[in-house]
Amino acid sequence: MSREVRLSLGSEETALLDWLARRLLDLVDAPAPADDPLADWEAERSATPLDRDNPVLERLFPPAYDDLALEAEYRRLSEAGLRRGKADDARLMLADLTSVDGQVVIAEDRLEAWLRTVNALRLALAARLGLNTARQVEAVERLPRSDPRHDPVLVFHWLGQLLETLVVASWGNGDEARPTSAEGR
Amino acid sequence: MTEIPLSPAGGTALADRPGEAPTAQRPWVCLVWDDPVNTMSYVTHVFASHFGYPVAQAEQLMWRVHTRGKAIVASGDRETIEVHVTAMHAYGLWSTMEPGS
Repeated sequence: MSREVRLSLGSEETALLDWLARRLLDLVDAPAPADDPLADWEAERSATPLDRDNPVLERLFPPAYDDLALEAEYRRLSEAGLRRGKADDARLMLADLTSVDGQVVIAEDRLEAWLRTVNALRLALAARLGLNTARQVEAVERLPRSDPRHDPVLVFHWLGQLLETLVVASWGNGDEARPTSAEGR
Repeated sequence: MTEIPLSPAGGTALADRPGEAPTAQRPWVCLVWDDPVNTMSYVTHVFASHFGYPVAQAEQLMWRVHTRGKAIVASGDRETIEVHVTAMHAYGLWSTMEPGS
């Protein structure tokens, strides 16, 4: 019953995704998983704290509470797990990034990790580009080639198309209604 | 607001944290906020995938987020809601939690 998704991605595109996912891994700076759970725990305890002044990290790890004390407790309890989750997702995608005859094959049970990672790469790029409002997103739609943001914005849009392809694939062959549009929000 | 808070199917009951004030028993809500980067289809996917909502209901919820700026996507005890908020953060959605009114 296991379904798989075939993405048309050339080697240049997989190389780009590979590069971006490795930057994401560097950023979340999650300790590598160990067989020994105690070692894992120690690694988490000693992991470098996230740099909250970095807008990318602020976007990838948003606050849950208004209340500062509750928020501090939330971070203490959830941050290591969120970091590990994002890193595991990225590693899983990296492991799948081999293009054979222009196609990358994703097993259905790995699709969620792909979706989360591609979305995280989009969010990270948007944060880097300072795209915090709909107006700012619109403002970078048509940049001259000379603008230093031109190429990153192209990558941002390409990630959006890739994400859309993955979302549509996740709906599979079910007969449920599909979402109406892929336009940015 | 007159919205009916939606409860996810199969919510997990979790023990309360020890030593918490009685206010911890108040129902909490998980909010998802509109943001200009996450796409409509992705947000719909997250609601359907994580909460198990049918796609039509997930889409309706996504529209509520988009048009009103935010929406309650789940309500329940604090531990359960924190699990949902953490899941939303894992998916990259802008989500917060607060005591229900």
